Amino acid sequence: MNMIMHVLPLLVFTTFAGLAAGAYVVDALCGGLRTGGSDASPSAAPCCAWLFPLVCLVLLGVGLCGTLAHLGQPLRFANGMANPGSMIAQEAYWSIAFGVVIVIDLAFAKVKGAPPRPVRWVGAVVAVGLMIVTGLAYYHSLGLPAWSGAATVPLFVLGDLALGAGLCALLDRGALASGKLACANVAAQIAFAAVLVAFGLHLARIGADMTGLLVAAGVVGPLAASVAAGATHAGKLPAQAGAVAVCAFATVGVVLARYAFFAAGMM
Amino acid sequence: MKNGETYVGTREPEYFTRDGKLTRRTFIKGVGAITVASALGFGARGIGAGEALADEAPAAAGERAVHAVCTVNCTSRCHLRGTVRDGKLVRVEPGDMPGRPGYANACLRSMSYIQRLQDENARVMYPMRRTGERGSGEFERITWDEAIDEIAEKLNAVLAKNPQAASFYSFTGDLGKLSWEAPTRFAATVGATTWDIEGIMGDHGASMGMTMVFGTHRGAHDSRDYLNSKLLIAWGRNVADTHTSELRDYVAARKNGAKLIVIDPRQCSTAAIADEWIPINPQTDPALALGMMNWIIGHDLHAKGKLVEESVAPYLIREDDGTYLRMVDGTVVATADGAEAAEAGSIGTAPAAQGTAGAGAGTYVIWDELTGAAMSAPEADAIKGGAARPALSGSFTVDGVACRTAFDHLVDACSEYTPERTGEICGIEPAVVERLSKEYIEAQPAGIRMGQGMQRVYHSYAPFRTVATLAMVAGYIGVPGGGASHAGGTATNKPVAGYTGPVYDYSDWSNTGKKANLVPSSQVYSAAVDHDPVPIDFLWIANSNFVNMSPDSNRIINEVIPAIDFIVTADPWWTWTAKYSDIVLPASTYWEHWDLVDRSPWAMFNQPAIEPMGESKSDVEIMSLLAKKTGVEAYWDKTDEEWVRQFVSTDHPAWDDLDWDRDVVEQGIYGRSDALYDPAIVYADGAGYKTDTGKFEFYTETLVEFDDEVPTWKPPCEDPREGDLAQKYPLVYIQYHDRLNVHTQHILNPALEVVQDEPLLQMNPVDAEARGIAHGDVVRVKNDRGDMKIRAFLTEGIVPGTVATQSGWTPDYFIEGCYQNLTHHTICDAEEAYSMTNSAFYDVLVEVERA
Amino acid sequence: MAEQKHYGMVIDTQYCVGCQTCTVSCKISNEVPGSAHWNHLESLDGEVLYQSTGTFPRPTLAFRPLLCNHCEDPACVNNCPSGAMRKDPDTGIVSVNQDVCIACGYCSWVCPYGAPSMNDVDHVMSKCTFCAERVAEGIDPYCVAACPANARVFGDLNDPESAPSKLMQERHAEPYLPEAGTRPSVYYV
Repeated sequence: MNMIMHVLPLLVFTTFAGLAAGAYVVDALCGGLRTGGSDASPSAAPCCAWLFPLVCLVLLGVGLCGTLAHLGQPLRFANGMANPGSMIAQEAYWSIAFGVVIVIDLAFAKVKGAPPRPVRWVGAVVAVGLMIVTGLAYYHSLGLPAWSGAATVPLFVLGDLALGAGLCALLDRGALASGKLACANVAAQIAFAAVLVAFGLHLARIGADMTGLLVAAGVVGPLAASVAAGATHAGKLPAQAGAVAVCAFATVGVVLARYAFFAAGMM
Repeated sequence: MKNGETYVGTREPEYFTRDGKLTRRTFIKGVGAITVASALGFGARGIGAGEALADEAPAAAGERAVHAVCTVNCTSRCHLRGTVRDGKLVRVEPGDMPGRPGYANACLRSMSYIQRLQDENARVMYPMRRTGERGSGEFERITWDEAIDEIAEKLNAVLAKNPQAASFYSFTGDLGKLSWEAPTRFAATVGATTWDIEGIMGDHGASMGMTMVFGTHRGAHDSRDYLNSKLLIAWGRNVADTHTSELRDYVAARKNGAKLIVIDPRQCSTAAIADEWIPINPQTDPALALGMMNWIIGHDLHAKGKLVEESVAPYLIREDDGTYLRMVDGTVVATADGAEAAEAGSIGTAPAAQGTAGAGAGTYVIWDELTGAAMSAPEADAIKGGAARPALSGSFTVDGVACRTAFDHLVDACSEYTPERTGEICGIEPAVVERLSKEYIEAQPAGIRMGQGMQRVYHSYAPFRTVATLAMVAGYIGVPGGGASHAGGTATNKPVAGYTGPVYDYSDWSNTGKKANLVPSSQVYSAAVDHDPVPIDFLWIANSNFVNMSPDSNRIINEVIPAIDFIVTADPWWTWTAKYSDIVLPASTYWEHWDLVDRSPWAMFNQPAIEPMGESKSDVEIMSLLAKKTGVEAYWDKTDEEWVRQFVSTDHPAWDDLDWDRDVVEQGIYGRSDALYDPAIVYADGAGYKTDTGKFEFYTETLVEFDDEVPTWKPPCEDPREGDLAQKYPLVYIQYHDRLNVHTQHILNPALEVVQDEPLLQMNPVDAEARGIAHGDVVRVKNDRGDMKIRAFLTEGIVPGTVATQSGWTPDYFIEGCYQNLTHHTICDAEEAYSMTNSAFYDVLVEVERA
Repeated sequence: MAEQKHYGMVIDTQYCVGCQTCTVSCKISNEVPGSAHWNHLESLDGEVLYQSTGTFPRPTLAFRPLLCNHCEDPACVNNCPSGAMRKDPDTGIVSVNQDVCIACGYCSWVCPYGAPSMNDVDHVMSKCTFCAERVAEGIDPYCVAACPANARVFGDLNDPESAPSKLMQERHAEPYLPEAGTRPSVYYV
């Protein structure tokens, strides 16, 4: 219980901010969802173009609140940006930058009904930056051998992509049928599965053991989410239920993996 | 002997030396070459003279420097420097020891003690009257007046019938003179009973063993003397945890090239810095010493000259009755009066208690090889001068009485201890026995520090007596870098020409009108239960967690305590014992009251650094209150401070430089003007033996009837080697004093939790595996007397067949039960005949199973 | 400008008895609150503290006392987001400005030695100061003064004649975990 309370703020930040960041990258790669753009899927409803940035903004905001809960002196959070050499400060910079891009995205969507694609591309780039500095922040933890392995950065980047793919599916429930997003989900989950294995091997090498949680993460995430994505694409699952299932499986899978990650470092 | 400068250079970092500071007084007086040399060396290292001469770092703003001497019963007596802020003690550091640079010390227990002693939940804050069953812990607060009135009423009733039926039981919780002695002094003023403490607490085996051979309870080389040693053996003594103030000297000796060997059933903390740990089966130390003697004598490497000159080795022993042959005016006489127990009158509680030398020295007989005749045993000098050549070995007939030398008896006793047999008993490879013997005799010199760890056994005098005899056989007694030492290092004072008076004025303190009835503490259970040798109708317990620290706690709770009508405990802590008392009185700690420790060459002082917690009072204050109600107030007419002032108010030259405000109030320690700070040894030049023979006396004729006249090894009371008990309970259970505790008073200072937060059962993996026990498992340790539930700590650092826990943990910290449920109180006839039984705490069998 | 010091320590593990007087002395005398500790102790060659390693009858019992290494390239300073963690150029002492610290705990993660310890009473990071105030007056840190085995030697590593400098040379003292690259100022024999 103590461990959960200790890990919770970190889990909240990395999961919620990761959902938003991953969604921007997947959206950019998959060519736009719910953007109302000319190449959007036919089912896209222009009236809801603001939904994607709004959801991402809320998620990022919740995530940042999580970081405040992690601080012993939350009111001094602004001090935390003083040293650009620190990955914690970098997380703050990239989070703020990402937030600004989302706000711009949201403004365009609200005002014009759709943002220009370059805003999403910028958002994706900033999101990747956030993912990497988040991973690096843990990777630099020399005092915690579980975290300072080569799998740490990929674990966060690919986890965020898996989260983002799931979120994209949820936000555009028809998209899984189109194939591109279904592929993106499966690809992200396969890559995430690979990094889970790599992380598990790293733990074994340093004498830690989180096999149970990691296997659970692999089953719920990569396996179940991919199956759900495939089934939805093949029409064997209703689009709506399929999208919810993919997003839920992806999220639970990543949360389990990250809990294992945090617990391995802190115990 | 190496000079002090070398010593200081060897063990002290030259940069930022803190410990080397000298007080102005000591420096100016220049009491010895050592001091001046180190003082100059200190100054030369570049720290300003003014700073070096000041006492310690100045206190910060709002803070006040205070001083105390730690009075718990380890063998150190450390001068502590504390800091008080807003009326609270906030830190404790090592306090400087004038004249002995590098000796400032404070252990982790003393430093964290301030947390516990200022915790009102741990302290007894007010006088309390029991309201529930004994042991229930249900008490109500009462006033001091009510408490004293109630106690006085009970006490006066007992005193009126039989004063000796009132008992005052003061142990070692606070060894300040006032605190330690006030309850027993009170007993003297009313003619009540007190208890000679060493037996039941399990320290008396050492005293008996020492007294048999040396004639005194204690005696040790200054630990700095080990710079002269080539080999140093810590034998059953974990100095690193139990005498921390001397550890630096062991480290210095080792840096100086001495090999350090630790003989212990456990790889104790001291073993961590040793060159070698020799794991020995508990209870078998005398066997190892006998095996070593056998090897040394067998190789003709024993110190024949020293044995002949300084020991009873050449003394003739009658073949008919095993007593010393005695001659008066050239004629053999029947066993003289001197054969009575030499120590009958000297089993006192004070460490200084000792026998008188050579009471019958003139009557003993040797065989002179020069004249081929028996003669009165000569002094060592006469032998050295060639006036006589006593035969070390041989059978002789004197006046028709067949005799052999005492040495031959010793040789006989050793002879069966071949390396193989010794190894089998001790659990040591025979090759190691041989190598140890060889290294010991070849070291020239080798020092031995003996520890009480080896003497909490049945026949408890054997370990110290036998190991000391080994040192004599090797010729190391009285030799720099040698010795077989017991207890603390020796500090000395210069004899003052023409002055014969005492240093301290204890005349009023010693004047008690009546006398206390001193009873061996080995008889306290039978006194309570069977009224033998005295009844206990009223029991005053002070400075003691009696239930927790005495053997067989279930017996105490079920038989002893119910047999006593009224029990008062005066203690700072809510001990297990306090919970079984009818009235509990809040006693103050050494940071809260005046007291004195007269530890030569220093006088060390306690004084109230903080207000006493709650309504706590010093033992003197408490006894003075009771004195008013029992008609002995005339003997209790001083405050604590007045007593201390009187103690140091003689015109002895020791006090020439005493400035009360500077030395007592500000510094808390006074280096006497007659002090000698050089490292001293005991029995140098063969002088100082206080035995009846005036020699090192390894032949004890009073033990003939117990077949123990020379050092022997006897199997333990609860023998793991054979018998039904060993079948049922195959593991030997021992306790040890470790870094966390002296007795129970430091359990559990909050800052110590990081070190260890529960009692643990140390167990060799071999024994654990056989019982399906894994590291960290909860296990039940049991025998017929009781049990405890505790976590197992597996380690290769303990001999197989033995399990061990740290002493001092209270029942609160055990999952169930307590370690003292397992121990026993078995009277040993030989010990009782010699003086009194020593509790065999480490002579216990148990079985361990997963709980 | 005053002569620059590089304070450091040599710990002779050969003489460490594992008593933790250093740990407790520091905790008490520096009034380190809550569950924070600026010193700690681990087994030199095993997993479990106080458990002998090797096999009976020749096992080993040895300890490694740990404190802040006051590194020359301190990970805590480099990675502290707020700049509260800093290294004093005049003494080499690494300290935390508790008025600036946001208590993210990151320094304790990035330190290879786990030296910074969260003050869970005031919710701010705390750490070993090398007893800077005492050292400024020429007095040994508490842990050094209290060590009953004289296993710790403190002084200026810039001074080749200082006790730790000499001991380092004589006994070939090495830092712990040099591969972490922080260049510690605490060396072990």
